[in-house]
Amino acid sequence: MAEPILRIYNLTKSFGALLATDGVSLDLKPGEIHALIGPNGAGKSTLVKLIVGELRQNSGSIEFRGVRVDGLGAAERARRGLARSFQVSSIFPELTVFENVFLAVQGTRGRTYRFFGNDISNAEFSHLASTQVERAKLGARSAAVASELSHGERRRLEVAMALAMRPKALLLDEPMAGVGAEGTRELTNLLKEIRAESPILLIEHDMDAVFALADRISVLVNGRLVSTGSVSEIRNNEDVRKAYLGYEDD
Amino acid sequence: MSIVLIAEQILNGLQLGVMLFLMAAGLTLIFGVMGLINLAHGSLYMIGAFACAGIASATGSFWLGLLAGLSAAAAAGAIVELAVIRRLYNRDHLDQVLATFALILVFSEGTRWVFGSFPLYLTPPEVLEGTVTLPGGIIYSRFRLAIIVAGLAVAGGLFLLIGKTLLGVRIRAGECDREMIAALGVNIGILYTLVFALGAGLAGLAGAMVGSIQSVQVGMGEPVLILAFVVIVIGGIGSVAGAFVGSILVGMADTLGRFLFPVFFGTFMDPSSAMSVGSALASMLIYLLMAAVLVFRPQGLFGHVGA
Amino acid sequence: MSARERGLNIGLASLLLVVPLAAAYFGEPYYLTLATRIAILSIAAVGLNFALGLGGLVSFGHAAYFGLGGYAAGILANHALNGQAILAWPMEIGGTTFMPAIWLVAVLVAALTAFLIGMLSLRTTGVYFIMITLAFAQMLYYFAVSWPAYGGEDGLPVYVRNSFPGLNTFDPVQFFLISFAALMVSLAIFSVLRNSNFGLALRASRQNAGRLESLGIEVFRLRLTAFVVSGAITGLAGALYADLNRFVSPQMLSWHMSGEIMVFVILGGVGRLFGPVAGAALYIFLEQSLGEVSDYWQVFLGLLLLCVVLFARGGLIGTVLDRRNG
Repeated sequence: MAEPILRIYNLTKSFGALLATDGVSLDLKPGEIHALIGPNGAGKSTLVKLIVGELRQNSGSIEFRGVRVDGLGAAERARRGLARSFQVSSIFPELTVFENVFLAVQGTRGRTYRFFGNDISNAEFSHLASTQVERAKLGARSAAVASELSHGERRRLEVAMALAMRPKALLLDEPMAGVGAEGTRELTNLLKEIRAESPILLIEHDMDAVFALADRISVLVNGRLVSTGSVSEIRNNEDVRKAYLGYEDD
Repeated sequence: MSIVLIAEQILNGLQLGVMLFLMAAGLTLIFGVMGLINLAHGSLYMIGAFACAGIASATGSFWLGLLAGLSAAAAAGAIVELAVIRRLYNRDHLDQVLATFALILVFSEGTRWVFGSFPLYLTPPEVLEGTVTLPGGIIYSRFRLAIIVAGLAVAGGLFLLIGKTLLGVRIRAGECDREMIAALGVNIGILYTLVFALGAGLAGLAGAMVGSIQSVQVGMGEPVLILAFVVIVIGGIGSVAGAFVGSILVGMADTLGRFLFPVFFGTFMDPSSAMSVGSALASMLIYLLMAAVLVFRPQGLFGHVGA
Repeated sequence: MSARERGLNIGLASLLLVVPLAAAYFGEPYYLTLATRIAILSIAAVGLNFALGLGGLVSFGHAAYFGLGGYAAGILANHALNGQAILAWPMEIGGTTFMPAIWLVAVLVAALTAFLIGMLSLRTTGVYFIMITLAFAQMLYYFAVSWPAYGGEDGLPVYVRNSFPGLNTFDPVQFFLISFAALMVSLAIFSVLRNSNFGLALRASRQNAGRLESLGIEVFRLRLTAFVVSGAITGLAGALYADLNRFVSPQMLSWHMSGEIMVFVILGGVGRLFGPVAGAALYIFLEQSLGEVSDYWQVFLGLLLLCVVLFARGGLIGTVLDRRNG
């Protein structure tokens, strides 16, 4: 098996007395979709924030493409190819769809400190941005101001921004949240396509989507990783059923 | 340089500190509860001073003046809150800054219109004239000492109010979660007006008391307002305890800096340049203190991360 | 920018250029001085508009850069006149009355100060940032008041207006044209920067700073750069203002000045290219016309500003464009 792209070891984070992440170790291998599931409050979002550098861990390490990154800032990690999408759509509301995606290109290419002129006229960069706009089926909305987008369109813009970074690893925080059956199908297809380009750590509540997409599943409960395994292993794991899937069936 | 002289300066620093606390406490409460930055807080201080001076000279009673200063500022605060400020709670800070800047223009020029441009002078009441001899042979102004005592008493009262009364519970609830206190059935409108008037009254009281030490004039509020901002940045926004510690720190640093810096530079400079270098640097001291706090604790000494 | 806004901008620029020149031609040179003042104060506000309008950085301390630009001009000119060196060590630096050199120094001093103040104040956001920028500007104000070498509280006269090669700067028309040209250059810089990669990221940082980090752009560094550029432009305005009045005083550093610069920006329309020009022109116009009616004109100005904040959001340019749309 190939070396993991992303390797998290014994990661711990506490807020006061609350242990939000408790000695979590997991990895992400090339070409795979690794789903992270768990009940609300299990610490999934905290884990994502630790990995991308929005929060600093108390102890443990994060290795990305063979290099420790846990001491680096979020922007530096992003430039190295660690991309994320947000659970609640986080976009630039007054910019156009194209500009939103273009910023991702500009940011990861380190072209922000160009003061005179812009790279929108740069064929390579704008092609990169418009490719992702098209791919997220937002081509017709490219010139629209982002605040005018529907909820589903915003979710896709989120993913397009992450993809425009040409990530080496992608962290998607509940990309399917609230998009409905049709939206979920579209996004599922998109993620299948993406997996060849970049492995995905997928946090998702929609179990059908998880079982359809994931190569491996990790279960997080109360900040602890209770189990990691293939789809069928997790489905049949008694502890997981009790700890998590049981609630879902209710 | 005698111990007595230093003790006097320490008392002066304490006096400036408690005055700043009366200003900063109102500002920080108003920000904590309503999320509003009020540049016009210095105008309320000025209103307190003018009302005190006006009534004291009309009636001959300092005490009536003091009462008038406090109530005029509180009333002005309530009126401004009802007429203008409450439209600003849901606006961004930029709108709040501009609107309260406009209020300063209205208050300052309005006061000049009514009272003229010449400064007024307030005389302290007879019982507080002269000096007292404190233990250790320190001779100190009776009036300034009274200000320190009164300021500390008000500070104590404010802590009791916030810590022990129903109003205090609601204020603290409002600082944590604005929706929650509405859900508790508290009339937010009245609470906000009360908090604003309370802050205004404290500023007015400070203005009325200081009016007997300095001259009462238009524009007297803004230097104090800016000092109060420094206090809040140091203490941490929204924290009354932080405002108290910050006030005493700033009052002490400013007063002692102005006293000690020229003395210090005088040890290796000629007196006149020691005076100018010393006082120029002393005028920057509290801002450097603020800068140091920002480097080591950007949220302020008593502030919470993310506030 | 819409074609309509562009048209409005060209109209404003032409008015500012033509009206005072025509007035001067017809023997009313007073309006020329007024227009020069508008142009220079507009530059100061263009500087603030860069940080505030594009980056959302509510600096209430831009008088610091304005005043430092002014003092740079005043101090250099005074040393040129009395022949004493400003610095004797490590190298001798004397004064100058050569405008371009003065502008360069003013811009550099303002930029350096903005860098230092920005390093500290940009660690915070929101209300903290407003209070801290105000406090640091006030620190410089008190320093200028209590430092006697350059006039202290009384200010510093600039006895002879500084020179510009090929021009007679004493001629009000020529000095106005210099100021107008400086305004156009600073507007051009604003416009070019706004449309650059940097400008896109800066506008994005105002809308959603956290997201920008996740795209690989450090917000602190971005804001600091914008803050420095902003301070530098305002510093240039300060140098010109010193030459206009032939006088520099701590008043240029006061919080009231900071407030006025901010009022220009908001009155005209935050983030609009010509917002500062419209705002400064309206403010000076009000100051003149209300000033004739009452000594206490600031009361009415204050009430008017209150109405603008409460009811006419988007400033003058925003309101005019909306009216025409509707």
